[in-house]
Amino acid sequence: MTDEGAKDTESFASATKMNYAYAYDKGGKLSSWAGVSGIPAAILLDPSGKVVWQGHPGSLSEDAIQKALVGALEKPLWDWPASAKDVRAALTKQAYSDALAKAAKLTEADGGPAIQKAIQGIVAGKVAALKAAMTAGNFLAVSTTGAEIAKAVDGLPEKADVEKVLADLEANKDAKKVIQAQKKVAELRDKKWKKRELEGAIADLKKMAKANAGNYAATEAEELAAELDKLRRKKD
Amino acid sequence: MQIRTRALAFVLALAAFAAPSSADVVGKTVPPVALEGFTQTKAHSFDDFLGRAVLVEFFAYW
Repeated sequence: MTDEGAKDTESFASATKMNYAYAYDKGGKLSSWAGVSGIPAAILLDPSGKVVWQGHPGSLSEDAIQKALVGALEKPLWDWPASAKDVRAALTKQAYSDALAKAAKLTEADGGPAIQKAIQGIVAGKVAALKAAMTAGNFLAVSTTGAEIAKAVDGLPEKADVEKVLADLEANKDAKKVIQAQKKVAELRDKKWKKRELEGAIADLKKMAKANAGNYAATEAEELAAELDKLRRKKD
Repeated sequence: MQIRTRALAFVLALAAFAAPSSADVVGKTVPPVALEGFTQTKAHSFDDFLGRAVLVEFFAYW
């Protein structure tokens, strides 16, 4: 965003008494990742950075907020005491074992127990997400995030759980085929479609769904086919 | 109220909008993104929000 843009934003923020934090998403990277196609639009993240809700800000429910707050830190990282500086550094590096060991040395007055609990929550959330992806048969997600999570939980009891998931993925004889198909669906998802191409793309996706019947790639292909179909109808 | 103290509203100003896309990102973890010019907060990067519940609202003006 240009400096001029920043100036406009600042006057807008003060004119509307917008009293919360904001920042610039240069190039719209986050918004395109989140598939934002119009405003207002919002996503709600849990403490581990996972999206737990997405939609129109007006439709955000109390229930979704409560879910996102499970295990959330009372104090943001920048308000942690100076004594917790090392914990914060380990945490942003995703070195959870190190972060926990350092947090264990903090006193109660410095929020040590709360910080430990929050880190444990982040770890549990990551491991649970990986297991859920495996159970759902989302092998692409397991293969892309598994190694990073295994490294992050190095030295913690959760490491065994993560390794078990990765071993199960390795042992699954369909996994490679499913991952290939999932990658193909992801490629199609990222493509900027022209109206005249949609019909063919939907037919291809339906074929893919049939060829992959019963696995996660089929689910994803069907979902994308439905989305593209919606887009096709909208443009008519 | 607990929600007010812990949930953080967070607004992103966007210069322009990309072509329509309708990716469903629920259940996905936000990839590393470099956001700039944090205002009305002590945060300097998106990483500073780790461990908190964060509401990201996409926002633009014309």
